[in-house]
Amino acid sequence: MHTILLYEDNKNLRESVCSLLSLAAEYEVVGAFGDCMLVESQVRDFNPDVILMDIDMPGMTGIEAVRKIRTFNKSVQIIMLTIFDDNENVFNALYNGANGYLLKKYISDKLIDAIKEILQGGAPMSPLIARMVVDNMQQKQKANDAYKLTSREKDILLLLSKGNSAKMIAAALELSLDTIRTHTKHIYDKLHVNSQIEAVSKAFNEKLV
Amino acid sequence: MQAKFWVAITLLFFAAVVKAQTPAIDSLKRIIALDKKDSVEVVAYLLLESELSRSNTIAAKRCSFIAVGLSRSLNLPVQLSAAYSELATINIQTNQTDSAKYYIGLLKKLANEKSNTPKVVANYNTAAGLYYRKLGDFKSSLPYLIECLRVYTIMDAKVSMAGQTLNVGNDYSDMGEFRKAMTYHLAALKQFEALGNKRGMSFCYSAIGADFIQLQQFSDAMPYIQQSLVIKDELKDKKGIANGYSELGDLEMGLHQPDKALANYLESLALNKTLMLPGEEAKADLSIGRLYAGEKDVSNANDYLNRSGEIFKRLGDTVHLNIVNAEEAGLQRSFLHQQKTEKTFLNTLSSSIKTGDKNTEINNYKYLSDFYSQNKQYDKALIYNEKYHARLDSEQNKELQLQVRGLEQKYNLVREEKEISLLKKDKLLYQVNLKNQELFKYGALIFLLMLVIIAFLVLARYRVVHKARRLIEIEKMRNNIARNLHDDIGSTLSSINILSKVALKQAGENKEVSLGLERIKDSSFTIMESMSDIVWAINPANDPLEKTILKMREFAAAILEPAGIRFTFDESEKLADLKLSVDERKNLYLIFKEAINNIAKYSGATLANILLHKTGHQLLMTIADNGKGFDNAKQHTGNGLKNMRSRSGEMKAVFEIESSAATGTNISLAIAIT
Repeated sequence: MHTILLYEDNKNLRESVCSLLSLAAEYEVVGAFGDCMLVESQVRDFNPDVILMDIDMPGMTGIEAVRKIRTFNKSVQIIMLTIFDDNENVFNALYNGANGYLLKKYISDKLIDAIKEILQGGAPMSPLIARMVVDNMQQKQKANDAYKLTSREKDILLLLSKGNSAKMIAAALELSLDTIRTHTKHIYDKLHVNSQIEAVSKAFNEKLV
Repeated sequence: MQAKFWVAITLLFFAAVVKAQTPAIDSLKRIIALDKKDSVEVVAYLLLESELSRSNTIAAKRCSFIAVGLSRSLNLPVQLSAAYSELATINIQTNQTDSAKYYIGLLKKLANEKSNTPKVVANYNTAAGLYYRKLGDFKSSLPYLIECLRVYTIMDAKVSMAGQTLNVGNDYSDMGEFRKAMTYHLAALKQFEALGNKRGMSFCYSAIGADFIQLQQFSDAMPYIQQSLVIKDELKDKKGIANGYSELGDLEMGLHQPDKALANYLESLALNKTLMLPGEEAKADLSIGRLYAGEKDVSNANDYLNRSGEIFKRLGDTVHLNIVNAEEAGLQRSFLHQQKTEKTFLNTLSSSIKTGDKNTEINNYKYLSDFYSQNKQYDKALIYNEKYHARLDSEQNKELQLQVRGLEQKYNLVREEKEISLLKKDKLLYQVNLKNQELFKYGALIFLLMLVIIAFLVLARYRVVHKARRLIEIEKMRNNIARNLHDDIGSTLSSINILSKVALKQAGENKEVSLGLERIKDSSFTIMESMSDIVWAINPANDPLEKTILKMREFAAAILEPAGIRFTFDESEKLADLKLSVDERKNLYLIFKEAINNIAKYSGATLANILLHKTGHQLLMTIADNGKGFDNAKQHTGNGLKNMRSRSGEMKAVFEIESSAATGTNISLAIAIT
C-alpha cells in the first residue's frame, strides 16, 4: 500500500485523478490540495511515498515546492503534471529533484504505470529531457565532465536527444533494452546529484544556507 | 626632560639603521664567519668585495686578497680569475694602473692555461678592456670588451652580458660615437630591467644621460640622470651618487644654469673626498674650474684648476692632466688678455693726466669703467665711473647736457617706439581676443544646439522604448491569460478524459454506455492532442525544420514501435535549417501523424520507410509501407484521407497516394519552398 499526495489547482482534474487512483487498490490518495503554500508541513505530516505535483499553481509554483520538499525529504518520489511538454519548467523541476513528469493528456492512460515504474526506481528519460540535459550541459560551457557522465552514457544521451527511442538506441549500440534503461537511470541520478550540489552552492552564494 | 628622551631615541634609531648596513653584507659576513674554507666561502668573499667596492675600497681589496689565497689553495681557477679581475678593476678605479697591469698579466696567463673555461677568458677580457679604458686608449679596449660580450653571450650569463653591453656602450661614448653608444646603453638597460638588476639599471640610466648631454639634448638627459640617482640612492651606491651629482652639474651647465651646476659639482666633490677617490675628486675640481672660467671668475677658476691638475699629476693621469692644462691655458689667455687691456688703459690714463690731455683722461675713465664693469669688478668700475662724471661735470657741462638730452631723446624715442609697438601688440591681442570670443560664442551656440538635439533624441527614444515596453507588457499579459486559459481547458479536458475512462471500467457489460464513454474518452483525447500540437506549432522556437523532424521521429517511434512495425526514417543533409511557415509546419506534421496513425491502425504492415529530402525548390516527404493498401481499409480512413488532402491544399502542396494490396501504400507530399 503506497500513499500519494496530490497537488493540482484545477478542481475537476483533482477529483478525477482521485477517482482514477481509487481504482487501484495498492495506491491510496491521502491528501489532495489546490495549492502548495503549506507543502512542507503537509509532506512532513503525511510522509507520502509519491507526490503528484502540478507545475503551474497560484502562489508558489510546483518547482519551488519540489525544491522545498527536497531540503528535508530525499526519498519521496515526485511526478510533475503538466500540459505543455516543451517547457523549460519541466527541466527545472527535474533538475530541482523531481523524479519524472507526465503530460496531463496521458494521465488516464499512463498515470498508474508511471507511479508503478517510479516506485520501482525507473527514471523516465524522454528525448525531450535528453535534449534539455544536452543543452544545459552545453550552456554551462564546462567540460563535458559537467555531470561526470561516462562516454557510454554520453552516447545514449545524445542519441536520445536526437529523437531515438530506447529500443532504437539499444539496437544501434547493440545493447539490451535493460542496459539502456539502467544507463538512463544513472544519467538521471547524476543529473540529480549535480543539481543538488549546485543547489547547495547556489544556496551558499545566496546566503540561504 | 621629555625632549632629551626623544633625542636619545632618535639617535639610537639612527645608530641602529647605520649599523645594519645592507642585509646582503650581513649574510655574506655570516657565511665567512663559518670559516669552512670551501668554495662557498670564496664566493662569499668575492661577493662581499663587490658590495664594498663602491663604499670602502680598502676593505674591498682585503676581501679580494683573501679570495685569491683561498682559490689558489682550493684550486678553483674560475674563482681565482674572478678575484684577479676584481683586484684589477678596483686598482683601475683608484688610479693604481701599475697594480692593475700586474693583475691583468696574471689573468692573461690564467686565461691561456684555461682557454676552455669561458668564465676565466671572460674575466680576463673584462679586466683588459677596462684597463685600456683607464689609459684613455678606447680604441684598444674595444676588441677586449666585444670579445668578452661574445663569451658571455655564449655562456648565456645574463647579468654579465648586460654589464658588458654597458661597457661597450661606454667605450663608444668615449670615442665620440654617441649613436652607437646609445644603442648599446639602451640594450643594456633592457637586459638589466629584465633581470630586475637595479644597480645595472642605475649605471645604464647614467650612461644614457651622459650620451644625451654629449649630444646637447639636455632636457632628454634630465629624466635619465634623475632616475639613476633615485636608484643609486636606494642602493646606497655612494660612488654612483657622486657621479650622478657630477652629471647633474654637466646638465645644468648645458642648460645655462651655473648656480645650480655649482651646487651639484660641490656635492660631488665632497662625496668623492669622503670616498677617497682622488681621480673623481680631481674631475669634480676640473668641472668647477671650468664653470668659474666660464663665469670669468678668474681667481676661483685658477684655484680649482690648479688643485685638479695637481691631483692628476700625482695620479699620473695624463689624459685628464692635458684637459686641465688646456683649460688653464685658455683661462690664462683671457686673463692675460685682460691684464694687457687693463694695463693699456691705466698707462694711457696716467700719461694723459701728465700731459694734461683732459679729453683722453676723461675717455679713459670711461673705458676703464666699462672694462671693469665687463669683468665684474664693479667696485673699480664704480670708482672710475664717478671720476668720469665728476670730470665731465666740471669740464664739459654743455656737451654733457647736449649728450644727455640726446640720450634722453633717444631714450624717449626708444620708449615711444616701444610704446607704439606695445600698443600695436595690444591691438592685435585685442583683435585676437575678440575673434576668440566670437569663436567661443559660436562654439557655445553649437554646443547648446547639440544638447537640444540630443535631448530631443533621448526623449524620442524614451518614448519609443516606453511604448515598446508597454506593448510588451500587454503582450505578456495576453500570453499569461492565454496560458491560464489553456491550462484550465487542458486540465478540464484531461479530467473529462479520466472520468470517462473510470466510468468505462465501471460500465461493465453495458455496451451502449461503454460505447458512449469510449467516444467521450477518444474525442477528449483527440482535442487535447490538437491543442498541444497547435501550441507547439506556433512556438517560434520550433521554426527550424529540424525541430519538426525531431518531433516526427519521436512520434513515429512512439506509435510504430508498440505496434511492432519496423521503420526507417531518413532525411537528406540540407534540411536542418529550412524554415517553414507556421501553417506549413503544422500541416506537414498533421499529415505525417495521420499517415503514421493509419499505418499503425489499419495497414497491417511490418515495415515502414519514411524519407524527407529537398529537391530543387521542393521539400518532399514520402511514407511507404508494405501493408494491405487502402482499398480494403477504405471505410476507416475516409475522413483521414480527406483531411490530408485538404491540409495539403491549404499550403498549395501536391499530395499523392499509391496503394494496392500487393505493393502496400505509398504517400508523397511535395511542398514548394522558396
